[in-house]
Amino acid sequence: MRSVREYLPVLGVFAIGLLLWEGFVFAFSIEFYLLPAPHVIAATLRQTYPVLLEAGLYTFGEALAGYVLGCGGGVLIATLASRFPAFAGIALPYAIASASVPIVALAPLAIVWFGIGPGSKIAIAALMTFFPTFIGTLRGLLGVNARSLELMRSIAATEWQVFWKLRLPHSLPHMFTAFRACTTLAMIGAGVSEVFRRPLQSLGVYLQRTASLFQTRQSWSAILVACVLGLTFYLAVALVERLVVPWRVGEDRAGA
Amino acid sequence: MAIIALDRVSKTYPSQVGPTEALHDVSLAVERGEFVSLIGPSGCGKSTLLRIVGDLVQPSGGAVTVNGKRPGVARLDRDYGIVFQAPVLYDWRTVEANVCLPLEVIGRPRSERDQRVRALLRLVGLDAFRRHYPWQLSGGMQQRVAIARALVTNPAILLMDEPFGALDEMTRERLNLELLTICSETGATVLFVTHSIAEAVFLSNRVVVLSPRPGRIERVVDVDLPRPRSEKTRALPRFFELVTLVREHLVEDPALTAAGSPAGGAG
Repeated sequence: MRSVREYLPVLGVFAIGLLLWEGFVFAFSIEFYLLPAPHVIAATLRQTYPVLLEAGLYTFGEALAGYVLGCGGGVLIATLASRFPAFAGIALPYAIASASVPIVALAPLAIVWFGIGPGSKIAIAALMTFFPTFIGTLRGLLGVNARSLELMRSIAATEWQVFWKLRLPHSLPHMFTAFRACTTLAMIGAGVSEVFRRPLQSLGVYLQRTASLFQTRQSWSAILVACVLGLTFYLAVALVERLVVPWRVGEDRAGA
Repeated sequence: MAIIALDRVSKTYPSQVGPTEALHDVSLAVERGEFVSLIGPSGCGKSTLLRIVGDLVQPSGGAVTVNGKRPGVARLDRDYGIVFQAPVLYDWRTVEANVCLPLEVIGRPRSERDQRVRALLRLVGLDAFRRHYPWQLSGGMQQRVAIARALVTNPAILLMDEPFGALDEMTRERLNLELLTICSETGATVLFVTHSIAEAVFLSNRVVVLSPRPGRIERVVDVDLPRPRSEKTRALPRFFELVTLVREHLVEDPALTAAGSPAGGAG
């Protein structure tokens, strides 16, 4: 584990940021409905956190379901695609093209297909996480160096062994890069598709309702909760990465 | 009977400007237990020749016999181990897991695998590093791991493609000595590609000098230096005579000479 020392600058910047924010609001006498000072947000959070946490966890649940579906599907389809390189060649341009479709445009369609409930949110989160995972995994599976393959051939390894002992482990760091990026994408996907005011108990709807009533401090508390959940999600995946891809962590630290 | 027999082997690669002949009528017989080096300027097809023996490249013509079989059969029987210029270790495997890879692929029982891996790591002097990852080792140590991996299945033949080409001179000379010890302990036949004349002479029973475009055998030099060889061997007058003899037969690629490249081809 890294020492506390390495995290000190990060925490320092955070503290300085809060102080500047507080000072800015005080110095220019900014109305709290425009930009509440951090201590006001903290006070609001203390009152509303039971509601916020419930709403946050609901949205997080949607994000997580979509994440598992999207990342799982990405790995699965990439594995199939790597077995049939011709298929990969056809699928990849479409995958890249679809990944660049703005998600806000797809959200209404998702509601038409999967309903106004959590189904459409899960679908959007799944869609957003599928393509990065698919592309990352496929790149890892196919990007094996020619000598590594020659070595496998020299010891008469079967196709199956080449997959398990070479392609898959080679792809793991690529997969986890995608998995980490996808945590944020899943949260955004679930949150953004809640703009259609359903499900009522979700964080996105809470955020929208409070903002439209100029209950800015409540909105900011909700944003804070979303941040903490997103960060926790990211760190949890990063922790799993340390356990599953230990060689990469060492290599990165050695600067290799 | 020769353990590696090449009979008028040729190799032609297709290219945009028509077929390129990489090897032309190469015939060579390597006896069991021999250490034979292939040396020549780049483009002489020495690596291609090694890969043909390993069934990693298919010859365009001629006959190849490895351990009395066709190369493809010999490969499936794991009759040879191979070491490349780069160590080609798998980042996600520790030193011992890398050495173990061929045994896993064959499906040997765990107890036997552990025993073999430990024995090989002791042979290359890396037993203390068995739980390290490749990035934690120096280039010379990584190449020793690759040698241990090539020998772990106890193959009759060791194919080496410029294994020490990327190492500094001192590490290379130390590994040359270690390789001779390893060979005498395992009794493996070695086919060794290099572009260092001193290395070829120091290690080999015979040095095969190839000339480029297309690759042909220019001359086979018998190395009659006494064994076991040691650091003192490099100081023998006969060592210098043989190095000079090999150098005289090394033909520089005309294309490179025209470009003003220094003669010799020693690395």
